[in-house]
Amino acid sequence: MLKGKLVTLRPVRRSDKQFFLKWCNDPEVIQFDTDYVPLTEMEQEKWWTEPSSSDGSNVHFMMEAVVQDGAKPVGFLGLHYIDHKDRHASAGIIIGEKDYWSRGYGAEAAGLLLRYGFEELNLHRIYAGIWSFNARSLGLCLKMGFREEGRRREAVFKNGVYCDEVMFGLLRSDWEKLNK
Amino acid sequence: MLRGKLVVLRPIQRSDIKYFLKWFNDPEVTQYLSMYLPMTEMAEEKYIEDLANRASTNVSFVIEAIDGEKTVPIGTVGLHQINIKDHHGTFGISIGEKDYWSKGYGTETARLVIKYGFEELNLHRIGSGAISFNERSLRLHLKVGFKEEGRQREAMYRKGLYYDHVMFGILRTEWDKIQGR
Repeated sequence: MLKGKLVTLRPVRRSDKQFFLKWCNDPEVIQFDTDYVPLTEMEQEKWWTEPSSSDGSNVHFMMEAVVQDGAKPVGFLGLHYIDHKDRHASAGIIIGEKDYWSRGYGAEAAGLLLRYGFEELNLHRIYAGIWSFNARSLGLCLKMGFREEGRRREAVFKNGVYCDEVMFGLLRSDWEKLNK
Repeated sequence: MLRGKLVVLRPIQRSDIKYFLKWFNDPEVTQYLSMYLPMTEMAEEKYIEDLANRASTNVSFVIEAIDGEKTVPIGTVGLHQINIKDHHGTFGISIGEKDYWSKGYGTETARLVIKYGFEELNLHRIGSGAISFNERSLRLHLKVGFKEEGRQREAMYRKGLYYDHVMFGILRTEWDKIQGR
């Protein structure tokens, strides 16, 4: 459990299925993600039995907004493709409740996740790939201290056109400078 | 089967395991690759058998050098992580027989596989990458038409240090231009 002022990051539960099915089947949300086929209940349940969810290569958190009478699940995030030898991982975040876009929830959640990656998992580097039309995520990466490292040209087909994948990277040493 | 002047690219067979065990346990070869643990016979058998389940997302060939009447297996090449929606794949090559380094075998092989990816698999883009100290691979990529698209800083740990991962990409339109179309 990672606690901030606006959000809490907690482990995923089986009962979260309803949220994944809602968010991952919303075209406005999923246009920014790699997934593109409708997410079925059966497919969603399979996520947790796949080797990649228990072999140490993935960490998933549910993101809950702190609200007056408790906590409200608004999205999920995690570190993926964790490589314990080269000590790097890919960060990903999805806010499925669109009312919570552009209000600082993503930035606080990302900050907690990066701290967890560097200070608990002992990572050397965290990277992310963002579709070029996702202005909010591009802004978030720069705000968190990521540096643009390149562009995989026309690497993803969304909304009828090929878009670039903008590649970002953040080194532990740079992150420490920003957070110490 | 893809045929060039110097090389023939053919499907992988079970009996290739003896070559893979030799090549992928040679530190001079694996220093450039993402694999790093000792490659066991059991793990290699599993990899070879598993290829059958990944036929639509992974195309692999054994590179055979043409030597007069006969051919000699010298390495592997392929297109991996083929994405059927975004129409892209990731290029990978490894010449395990070091006597065949720097003699044009890799260049001809790369051109055959890129042509196959664009003209047979109908890909829109082919991506690739190399560790920053692999000068031979960096030159090869540029020579066959890849463009450098970026550098993932300190992404690969080798011999006590972190090195950059250099990212490359080539688009179908760029390949067509090279072919004079």
